Amino acid sequence: MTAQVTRADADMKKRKSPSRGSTTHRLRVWGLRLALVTVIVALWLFANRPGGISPLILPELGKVAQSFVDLVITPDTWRQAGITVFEMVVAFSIAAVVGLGTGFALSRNRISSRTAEPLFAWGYLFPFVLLYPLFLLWVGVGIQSKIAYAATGAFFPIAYNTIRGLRSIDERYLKVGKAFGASAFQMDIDVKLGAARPMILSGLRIGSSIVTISVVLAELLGSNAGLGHEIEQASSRFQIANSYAVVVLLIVIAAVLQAGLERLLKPRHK
Amino acid sequence: MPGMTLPRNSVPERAHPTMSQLVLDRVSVTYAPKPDETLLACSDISLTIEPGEFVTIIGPSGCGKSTLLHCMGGMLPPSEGSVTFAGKQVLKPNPRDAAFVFQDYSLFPWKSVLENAGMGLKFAGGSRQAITQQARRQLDFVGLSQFAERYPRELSGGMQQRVAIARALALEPKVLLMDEPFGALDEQSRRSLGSEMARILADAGQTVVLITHSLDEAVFWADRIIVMSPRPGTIAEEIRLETPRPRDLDFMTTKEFQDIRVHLFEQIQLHR
Repeated sequence: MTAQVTRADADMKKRKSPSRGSTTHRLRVWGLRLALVTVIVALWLFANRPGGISPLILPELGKVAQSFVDLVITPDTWRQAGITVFEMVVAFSIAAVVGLGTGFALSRNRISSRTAEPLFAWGYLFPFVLLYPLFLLWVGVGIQSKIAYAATGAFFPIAYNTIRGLRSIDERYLKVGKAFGASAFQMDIDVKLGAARPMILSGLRIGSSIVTISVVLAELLGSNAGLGHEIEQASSRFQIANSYAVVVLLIVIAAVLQAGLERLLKPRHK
Repeated sequence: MPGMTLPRNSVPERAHPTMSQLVLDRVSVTYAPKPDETLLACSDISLTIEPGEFVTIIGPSGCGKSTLLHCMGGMLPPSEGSVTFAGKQVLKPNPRDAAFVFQDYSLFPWKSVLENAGMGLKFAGGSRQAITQQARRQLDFVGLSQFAERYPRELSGGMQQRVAIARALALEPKVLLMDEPFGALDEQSRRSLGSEMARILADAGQTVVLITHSLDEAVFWADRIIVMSPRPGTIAEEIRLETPRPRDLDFMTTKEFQDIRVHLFEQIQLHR
């Protein structure tokens, strides 16, 4: 009897704790984050002291901040940022739609899903950057090559995780779908998508980070526009503070995009 | 057991000839767990479920009870023989004819209780409003209307099973097929939920086929008890009960209950 009661109690506590202890908990986490940033800034300032690290490698924090402000108030920066963001969003959308569609289509049949799974796993592991020169040849230097390249890279983890997720669905859920007369399409949307959701979401998250990396990398390696191109330009002219500032801007943009994606992927209730 | 046992395969009186009758005609099911191995799960089973009847199926583990129930609902084609519902052959599941309640509830944890209760209706198609309305009515019926917006994991096992029952009843099925619905519950919730459901289903005049391991359940719920033999499962005996349903818990203290229970105990537990 006691065992049952304590289990119920523990259940109650588990359910209540996130809401009750959340304020102090959150304060502590944010405090630690702030401390971490402070330490980094302190180390940076310390490294910039006379006789410290060369400004060619690590420009002064003040100069980076100044460059960042200059960057933010220059309209052209936002044009470049817009190009980069556009490439990221389009590449991710293509990869998500095609990856999910392929995963679901192949998973309707056990044989095709088995066949495709290792191929997608290899595609996932393959360093696609090796093919980037070919993408330039195929699609040109413009934004299309960045989109094609980033979407290709992100397609594989998304399709792979979708297939893996759909393959490992608990048989019980499929049984319910069958017993209650779900059509193949209803099975996909109402049963499989829900049951495989965690796997599919992790595929989309991996895909989104691959898109972010790939787009910037592609702009660095060969392009005539975008923030990656700006970094390349700045560092080739030894405007180190400037290229640091672009990196900071990229981090901010990536964080905003990531937050937007998380918001999109969050379940409707709770 | 004079007066309550019927000879095997006896034909019951036909109050509603073939209408909504679920008829199993010499059904056998063979499995092939490995390519060079076949396993006869149940053999030559003929059985007619009449409208409004509450039939319990009991038998030793592995006697093919579940297999038989899956056959009745069109989840599994019989290897031999046929299953017909209202005169039409059952080839695939049709939840409006026969809806399932599984042992492990099998609610979708990513859907709310209300959505789960309306799942079958959603698959059948219909306006969102009509689905929600009907799902709410069924949740109310099983006494869970205040939990509509919750998620299955927040509910106890017994409550989850009630949601599964609501999900099945929402389609207004002509037959309810229950596969050890209370098997995963502890003794006490099993008994209280069991007697509550027995009353609800009897009041609704619902036709039910229920599989169980529990002798008490098998006797307490049933108009008719089908006793199955060990594998390959065949019908060993049919027992018809006299006391009308719904029954109160003190039915368990009557001589009829005790006699049948003892008889079943001998049949299933001792002669295996």
